[in-house]
Amino acid sequence: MTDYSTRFGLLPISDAQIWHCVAPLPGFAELRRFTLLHVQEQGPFVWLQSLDEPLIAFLLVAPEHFGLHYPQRPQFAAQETDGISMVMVILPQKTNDSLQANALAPLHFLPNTRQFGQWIVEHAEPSLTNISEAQTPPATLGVPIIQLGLAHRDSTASPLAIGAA
Amino acid sequence: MLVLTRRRGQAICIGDDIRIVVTRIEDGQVRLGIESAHDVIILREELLESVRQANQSAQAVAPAQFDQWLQSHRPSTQDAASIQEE
Repeated sequence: MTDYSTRFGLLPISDAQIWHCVAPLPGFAELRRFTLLHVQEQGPFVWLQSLDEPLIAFLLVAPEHFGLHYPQRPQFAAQETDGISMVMVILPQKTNDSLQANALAPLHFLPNTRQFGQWIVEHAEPSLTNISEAQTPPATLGVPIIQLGLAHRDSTASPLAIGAA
Repeated sequence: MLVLTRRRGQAICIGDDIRIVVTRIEDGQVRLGIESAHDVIILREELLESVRQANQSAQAVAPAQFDQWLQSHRPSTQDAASIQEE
């Protein structure tokens, strides 16, 4: 275990909880080591926290929450049989507006090797899956995710008002 | 920047693996054909730039700010009760 500074404070993180970026995020190409954090009260959302730059973290969620689906695989995952896509979430300027997804650039995670990368698609396809009831991140990401709790918050995650991308 | 002049049907090569052919010139637009290895990522510049900007916007989300958004979008106790009644 090594202590890392994050946007959530100093956290002990083991090697098994570190994800390596193999297809860099445009604009953040120098960042290669990340960890996934889940705040229980935030339902299906997870944070992709940089371990190279403590102030940088991205909010992610499964694309189906935005009605999106990515049937193709990125080049770096072509040889893999598993893997899961997530999209970055962009918070609106006004509180009343809906969340937005970075729909053209999903991230693809390979749990077996703890590698991931961002890839760019010309367009996202609409999802046929309804997972509006899901309250947790995708189970396949479960093992290397660090669970955080906010003791001062209600522990029940409520249905979320998420807008289309 | 290296600047080359090419006509329709002519090509330039970048290293051994990338060949770019001018396939059409029309109305101020140039149509290019690109031959390269399968794992070379080729993108329109403006698409890459829009992803850079979206990534910048995404990393600007602060955990406390998101908590606030979640709180303001949770149904009120009254709303929850009326949903249960239905």
